[in-house]
Amino acid sequence: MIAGGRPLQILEKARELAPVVLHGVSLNIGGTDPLREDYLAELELLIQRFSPAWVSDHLCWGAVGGRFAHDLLPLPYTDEAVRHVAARICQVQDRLGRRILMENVSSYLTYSVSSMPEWVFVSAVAQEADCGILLDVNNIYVNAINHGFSPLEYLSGIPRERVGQIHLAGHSSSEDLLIDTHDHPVPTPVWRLYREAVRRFGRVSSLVEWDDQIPPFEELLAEANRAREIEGEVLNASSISL
Amino acid sequence: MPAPSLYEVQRLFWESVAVQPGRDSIAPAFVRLVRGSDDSDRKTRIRVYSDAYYLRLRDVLREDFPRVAALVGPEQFDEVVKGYLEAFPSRWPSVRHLGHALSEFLRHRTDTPKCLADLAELEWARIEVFDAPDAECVTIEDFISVPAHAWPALRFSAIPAIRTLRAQYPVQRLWSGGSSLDVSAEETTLRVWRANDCRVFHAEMDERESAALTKMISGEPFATICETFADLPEAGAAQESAALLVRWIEDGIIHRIDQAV
Repeated sequence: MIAGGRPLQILEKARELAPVVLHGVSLNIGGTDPLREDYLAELELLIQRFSPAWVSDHLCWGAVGGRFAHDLLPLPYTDEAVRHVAARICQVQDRLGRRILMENVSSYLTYSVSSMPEWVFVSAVAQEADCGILLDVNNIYVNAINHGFSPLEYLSGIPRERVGQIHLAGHSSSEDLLIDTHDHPVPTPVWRLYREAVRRFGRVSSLVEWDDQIPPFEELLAEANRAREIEGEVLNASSISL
Repeated sequence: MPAPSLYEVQRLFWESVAVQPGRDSIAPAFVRLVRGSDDSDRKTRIRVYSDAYYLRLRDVLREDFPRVAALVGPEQFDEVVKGYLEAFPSRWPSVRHLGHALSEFLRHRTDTPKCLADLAELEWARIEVFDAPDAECVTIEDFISVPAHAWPALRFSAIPAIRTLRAQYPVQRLWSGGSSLDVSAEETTLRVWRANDCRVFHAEMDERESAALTKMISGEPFATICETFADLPEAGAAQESAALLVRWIEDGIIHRIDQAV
């Protein structure tokens, strides 16, 4: 969301080679401040310029009282939050004239006021807002360990037809918590969960995120190829069984 | 007791992780809102967010102000960041704007060398021009077709990716290297710009160039810009103003030339 210079020139070059998608971190969709019109206007300009295949952001909040944390902060899973967030997603979708995807985030705390599991919350928001879901399999795994639930139960609670993209990533551990750092290879348990996700959701665009301590390109490519292999294995097996 | 509203949850969250960056300031009411095996577990979970808030934003500022960070050293930079985030929490969705007031903040501190504020201003100007709007710039060839009689009325537009700054210290020397903050005050004027190949530069300007650039940016005609050299002998003035114009063109800071109709 900048006016010009090298970052946009690089994005232009990338766009010439392949479709791009826009993945934001600053929509503050779960915040209680009004949505930032200046941000939406800039996002709209970016969409017009790059014609992304889809636009996504995170199902969380990140600002209160006009101050931004620049983090993906967890929401309480309550009926109030479902209604609040869904209404704001509708507002964004109306403003941009397109459906957006909302991603489940990693979290390190949950609230005593929550009245439903995370996957019920994610599904209820998507249903009420009629938006897509960007399903981050690593985030599901991280939260399953941090909060003690079954990641498979999470997957089975997500409506198949709404999943528009899957994210994969690595994480770190600190004390008894897993931290979503995007600076490691995708670990084995997350690959296992990805395999289950492909079984449930079928062929879905999948992306390996790696934001820090970025390895040589060959290593990154190997991770992407691993995702392709798993998808191929699962989908071939299911077509044989049919 | 009724469940707190979404706003109240978020207000308590903010108070616990961001009001006193880098320091433990967890609100007891927020601890009660968090699930956990005991208070220690709840606080550990909250500290993941308070640590992340401070460390992430400190890293952003260190990346945006590498020379300020290097010259004050890690410990003092941490203190600067804590104070800055407390006084100037981010007000924009993009973290790119976070450091907008660091120079102002440093200017009012008494425990850091005075030249740091000027250095921060230079580093921030370099950030601003890095992602300022794109614009074509004119070349020497664009001037060839300008008839001699049109030159006095010629007006220019500067590229958007240019800033000028006046400093009390020779910040270009602090920026270029060395590890000492021990510089004497010396009024300095700089221009900072992004070249066609996206590289960012800064250069010291003498009083004449500074005055001429101000006139160019504000759209004064070339004849008025040349008045900056009026105290020189006629031949020298012509030579100096032509050389300055060529330098601006070569640096790629003139976006457009407009001939009076």
